[in-house]
Amino acid sequence: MAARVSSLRRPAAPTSRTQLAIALLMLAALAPLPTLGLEIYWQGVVITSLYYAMLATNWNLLAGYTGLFSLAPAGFAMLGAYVTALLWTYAGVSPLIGIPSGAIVCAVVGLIIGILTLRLSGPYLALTTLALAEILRVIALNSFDITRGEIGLEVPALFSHQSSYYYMFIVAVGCLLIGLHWLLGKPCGLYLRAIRNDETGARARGVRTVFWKVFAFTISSGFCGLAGALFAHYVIIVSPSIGHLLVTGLVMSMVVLGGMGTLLGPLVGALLVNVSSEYLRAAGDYQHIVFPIIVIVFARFCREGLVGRIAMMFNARAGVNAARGSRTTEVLASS
Amino acid sequence: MLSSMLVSGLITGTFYALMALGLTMIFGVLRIVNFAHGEFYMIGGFAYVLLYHSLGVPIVAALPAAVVAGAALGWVVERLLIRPVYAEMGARQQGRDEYAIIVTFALSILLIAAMTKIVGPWSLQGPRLIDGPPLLIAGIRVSPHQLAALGIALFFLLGTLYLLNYSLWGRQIRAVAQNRSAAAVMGVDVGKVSTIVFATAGGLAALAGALLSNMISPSPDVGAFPAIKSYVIIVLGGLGSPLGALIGGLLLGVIENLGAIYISFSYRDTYGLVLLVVILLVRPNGLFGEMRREV
Amino acid sequence: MSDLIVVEDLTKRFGSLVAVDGVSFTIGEGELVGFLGPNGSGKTTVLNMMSGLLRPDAGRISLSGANVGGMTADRIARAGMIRMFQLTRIYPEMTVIENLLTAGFALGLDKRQATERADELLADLKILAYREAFASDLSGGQQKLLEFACCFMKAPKIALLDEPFAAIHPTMRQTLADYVRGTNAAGQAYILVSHDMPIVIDLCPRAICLAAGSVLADGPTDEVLREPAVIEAYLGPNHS
Repeated sequence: MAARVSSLRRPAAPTSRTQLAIALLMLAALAPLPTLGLEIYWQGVVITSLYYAMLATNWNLLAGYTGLFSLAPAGFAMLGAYVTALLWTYAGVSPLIGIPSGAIVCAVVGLIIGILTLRLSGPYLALTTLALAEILRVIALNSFDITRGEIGLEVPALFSHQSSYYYMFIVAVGCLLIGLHWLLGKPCGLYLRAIRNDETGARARGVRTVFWKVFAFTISSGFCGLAGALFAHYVIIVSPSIGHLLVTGLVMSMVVLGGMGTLLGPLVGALLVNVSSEYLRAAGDYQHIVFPIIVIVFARFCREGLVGRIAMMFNARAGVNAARGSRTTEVLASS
Repeated sequence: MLSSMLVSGLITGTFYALMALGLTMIFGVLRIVNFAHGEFYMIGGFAYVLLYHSLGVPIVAALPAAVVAGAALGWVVERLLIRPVYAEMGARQQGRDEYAIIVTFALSILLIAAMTKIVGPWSLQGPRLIDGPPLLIAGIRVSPHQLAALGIALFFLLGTLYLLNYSLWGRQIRAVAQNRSAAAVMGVDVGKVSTIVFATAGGLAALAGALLSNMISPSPDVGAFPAIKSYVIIVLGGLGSPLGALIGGLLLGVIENLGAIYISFSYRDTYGLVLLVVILLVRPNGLFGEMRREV
Repeated sequence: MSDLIVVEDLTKRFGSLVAVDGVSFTIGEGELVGFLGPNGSGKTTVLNMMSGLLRPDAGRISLSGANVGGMTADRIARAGMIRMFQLTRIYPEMTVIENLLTAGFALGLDKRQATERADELLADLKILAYREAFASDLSGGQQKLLEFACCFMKAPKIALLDEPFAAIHPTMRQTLADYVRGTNAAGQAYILVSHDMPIVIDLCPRAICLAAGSVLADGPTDEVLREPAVIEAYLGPNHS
């Protein structure tokens, strides 16, 4: 009985060389579009999608693999953006130092929040990150003398051509996915997934659960800060709107739609959500209504998301083979 | 100055406690945090304001109607989104937390966006409960409206706490909060209790929204800060502790007001986070938190 | 025989309820001890405190002379006291081999050692055919065998088994009992909590009986089972 119920919820592949290859092929297919005459406007849409893909991939590392819920991916992106903006405005520090500084500051803040909340079991991380995200935004909004409030701070551009940003974000997302795939293939990847599956069980069998949760939250925060700082030098204006909770809502939509706990899901979700947002915005700003509904429907009826669903179809075949004792296909897992 | 700020802190704290009480009851019974709690508050505020301004409903009817709107929303949310999953997943904890966080957070964004579509992004000031010149009580100026709002809030706050402790309804809720499966075995309709708790929480938050609509005009995203404050309060008071919500609410109100005088007024909304960090450091189970059996 | 485990005056209260009340016992190297007692007698609570999942209100627990009271559960597991749960706790969304490797890596094995050990255990417990299947696809009994195997990726100093034989197919029960007997003969120490009297009599030379949070009897299994107090605790005061 138990086995039959669970087989309906057959898990999706966490990562695999197939998924990584598909993701890299998608990026490679996007790469030549500017030279083939993709309009500047649509180049911008792709750049924004890739920025969101970075946030979504980092959120997925927490929610999809480790089972931790941060409500501050946008908050950390905003923090990273403000670090490089403030360094430039008040100390004339070059973006080449400002961007990594943004990432490091976010990682340190993530480390502190992680140590405070993750030794406790319960919803403390979600509560604290939500409070942090909103309060950072209010500080940015109200400290007019320093941040110029809603008007925002101007930062220098990194490149003179939009297509350069386009390639930079393709490379950034590619590196992030390769890095994540590598990480998941290490024992650490198993520990993180074990924590999501059964934290008490993992602890009782020797996994340093608190350490690995703090580790995941710290690097995820750092990379969200990096994404935010890179994005800041593309939009060349840093304002509190980068950290709005609606952004976190969109990031969540992308991961849930694409597939939590799959390597490819966040990228697919980010492209789908951003491109369709263009049409929904044109139709009258319906994106913040449509995506939450999709999230609720997916969370209820298709928890594995689009990529997870497709991977499951392969796994269903592989599972039968495994039960017969034969070697499984490569789709299953990489480790 | 100090005493007047203390009193105004206690007044603010009463409204915070009204929000936090519902939130902590939901956590007690269902072990989830309702991330759409601020939107219950927002719906209450708008229901009150729109019924009065657009439909000309008198205040004595608009205020209860706002509470009913919040309670109805809570009822629908529990029945439609929360209960099916709890029934399906049974005793297994895994996957339920993540579902609840995702769904209530998405719901929060959906309600904000939907309200923005309906009424626009502007804020609308609510009517006073009673008009009249300000009164001077113990050296503090209060308007009759503020006094009436405080009275109603206190009545509902203490009434809910009283019922929780001394009625069959309250005993059932506390039984489910203590041990869901044991309560079910003893014949408590656990599903019904969960729905009632969600509806009560929705009603209380909506009441807070309506009562405050004159001082803080409702806009679609008005709920974010009341909600965040109630998250801080439930951690402060201990997750699932109703008395902790009351005392935590009053405490946060006072601390914010003291911070506003002695530190800076424009950052008063941030003191809650500082408080949250301090609590997590020194007393992670909250002031009234209880250790519970885990395995 | 030197003392592997020394438990002194272990106490735990939940509110006004005293779940464990001054429990003391010692277990020597290589012993196989059965834990008996009616429901609510505190067996699982003692195990939870020994494995670090629950903080005792009072008392001392030491493993090979080192105090483990107050250590986190993962440190205790790495120190060699490992725990199997009554309600199976495996990683359902991971494959069988991933479940085992996770445990092996956490206990300090490298990839080659862990893989070899996992295959050995899967063969011993007759579930090698499911090596690449998702753990959620196993039957309830197979999942118990998997959790059991996870505890032995690196031979612990002592394994605490909470009702390993409950709700499991008779042939698998036999496999498990054979494994316990075989490893115990080679020096592996166990605490075995079970309601299944015949299996305890069959496997455990020594038994400790708990009732209402206290040790009622401690000694050779057949003697413990003849104690009037034990019979009364199990069958009620009006028996005989």
